[in-house]
Amino acid sequence: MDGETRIPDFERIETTVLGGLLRPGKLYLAFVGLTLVCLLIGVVAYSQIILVSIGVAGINNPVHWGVFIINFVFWVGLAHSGTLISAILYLFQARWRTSINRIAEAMTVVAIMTAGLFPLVHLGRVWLVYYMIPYPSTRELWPNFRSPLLWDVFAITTYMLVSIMFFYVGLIPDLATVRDRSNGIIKRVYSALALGWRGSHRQWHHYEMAYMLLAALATPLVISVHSVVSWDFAVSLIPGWHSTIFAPYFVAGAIFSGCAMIIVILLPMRKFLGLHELITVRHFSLLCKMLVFMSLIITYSYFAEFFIAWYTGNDIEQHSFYNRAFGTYGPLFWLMIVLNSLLPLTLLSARLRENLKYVYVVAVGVVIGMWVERFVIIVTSLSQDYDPYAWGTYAPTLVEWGILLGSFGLFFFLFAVLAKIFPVVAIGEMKALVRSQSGESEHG
Amino acid sequence: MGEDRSQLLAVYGSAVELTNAVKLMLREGHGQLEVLSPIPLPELHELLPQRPSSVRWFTLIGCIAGAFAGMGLQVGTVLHWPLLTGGKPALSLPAFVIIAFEMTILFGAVATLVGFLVNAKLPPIEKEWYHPGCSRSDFALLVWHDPAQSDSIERHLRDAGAREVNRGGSGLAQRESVNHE
Repeated sequence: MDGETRIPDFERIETTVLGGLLRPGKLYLAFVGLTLVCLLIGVVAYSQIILVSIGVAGINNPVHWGVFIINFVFWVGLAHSGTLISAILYLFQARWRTSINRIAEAMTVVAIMTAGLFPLVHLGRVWLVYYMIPYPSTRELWPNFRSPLLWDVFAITTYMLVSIMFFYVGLIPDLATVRDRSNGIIKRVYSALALGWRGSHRQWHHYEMAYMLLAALATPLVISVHSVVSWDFAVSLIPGWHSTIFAPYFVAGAIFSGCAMIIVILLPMRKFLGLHELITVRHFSLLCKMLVFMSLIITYSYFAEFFIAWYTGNDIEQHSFYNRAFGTYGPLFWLMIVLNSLLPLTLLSARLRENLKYVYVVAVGVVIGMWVERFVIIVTSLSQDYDPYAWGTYAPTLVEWGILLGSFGLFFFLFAVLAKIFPVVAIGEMKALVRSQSGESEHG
Repeated sequence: MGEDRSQLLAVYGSAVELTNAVKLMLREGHGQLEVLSPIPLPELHELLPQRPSSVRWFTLIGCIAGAFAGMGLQVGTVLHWPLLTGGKPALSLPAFVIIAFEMTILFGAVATLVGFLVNAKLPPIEKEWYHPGCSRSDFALLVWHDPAQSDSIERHLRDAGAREVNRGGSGLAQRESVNHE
């Protein structure tokens, strides 16, 4: 393949990806406005916790973990798929990730930021959060390093920082591309962000090594972070939580929900940013296969939990799971089964995988189903544990629903902003992929 | 690079032309070359060999430092301010592995980033030759050479298909098509 036929490919990739950059259309502004309204509702709801007390939320004994912790687990989970697609598939050299890895990485960064707010919200008195940070103080009160809640502080902070670094390093060559296509103040901003990237073979040499190493570091990290989140539950003695299966079960659930959220984000972006050439039906089909695979693991985990509860012969454990399926929150459990275990199985059909409207419905269903799953795990176990005298129920209040809505507003607002200021597809990687597929390097 | 050396920057429209130009320059005995490209070019690894990236050593040292820092923080803390809960020993090493692991990854990732920036010379301390097309679809070859040979080298570079050739003196002459980042 000669240069004359290759150059338009490169330029077309740039034009396609950068076409919508920094130029907000009416639809985009309307979407951002909607996200800001949701965010404002969340802020108003949260202000009630600051101004009144944590008592405005529905959490109380015995269900002292409610929507805030559900949201935390939910958003951390969504963040995981980004690392899976960008880092793990990179290590496995799955080339199809190139079209979607940037969006997945951005989702990771934004989702982990959103998740990180919820332990703060749940604290109530957020101004005391520095108690969790280990530093020598006159209080001489140090955090308990045996507590999973402190493991979380380290795990989530590490995950957020590593995700941002991974995202940024991957962006540098593309920021240079934007720099060289722009003028004036925009050029100055992107020049600063691109750090003077020239694309010399020396720079590419170190870039490839750094990117690979960051991917290699992010891979065990992603497994560890959601394992740590699961240990928030498993290390306690609550029936239904105290289980060795929790770490892999949570990691699988995280990747499952993340894959679904990627589809939920990708489809509209592909349509409104005109990325049909780069993000094809095949990409969705592959994501659907991952979704089905993770769904099967999740379904097995549901089964294993019930089986272990039965096999132990422990009355309290057995009651906990009976209550999960047939108690007050039983309908939510069955909704979870339908959305997470049955609905994704329909994607085994190749015809349905290529029907993108149907795929979208399934993905939205899984996102809802995974939120419900966290509700079922957290609330049912707490509502009826050892002592029937202390049993109780929990229903979220308007404040909690408002904060949930606000978190979606924040997530989509941050994502919309990132998608407007950074290239949504990895241009450099895409060019390299186009070149390797065209076989030019073989003739070089 | 040496102050008494001149530079020529030749711009090509494809990686194939660039690779041919690199081969030509090497054949002519001009070994001080630098390639600028919008994508990594694996075929140049043989022509312009480089030592394995030292970024990995940054990563290794960062990871080891992180593991010791994470474990040290916890062990030091519980020895100085023991907080006894649940009848467990203050020095609960298995539980401490988790934070030590997270710190291993964090320090390793930060060190990787630092190693990348240091090795790739980002941001550059001194001005370097650059062509804005090289982040898009152009490929450039930068040749350091004896000033007396400028004309013959430029001819060779153009023969290899260069679309444009920019000359610099021993300093960094400003040219319209060349950005100094």
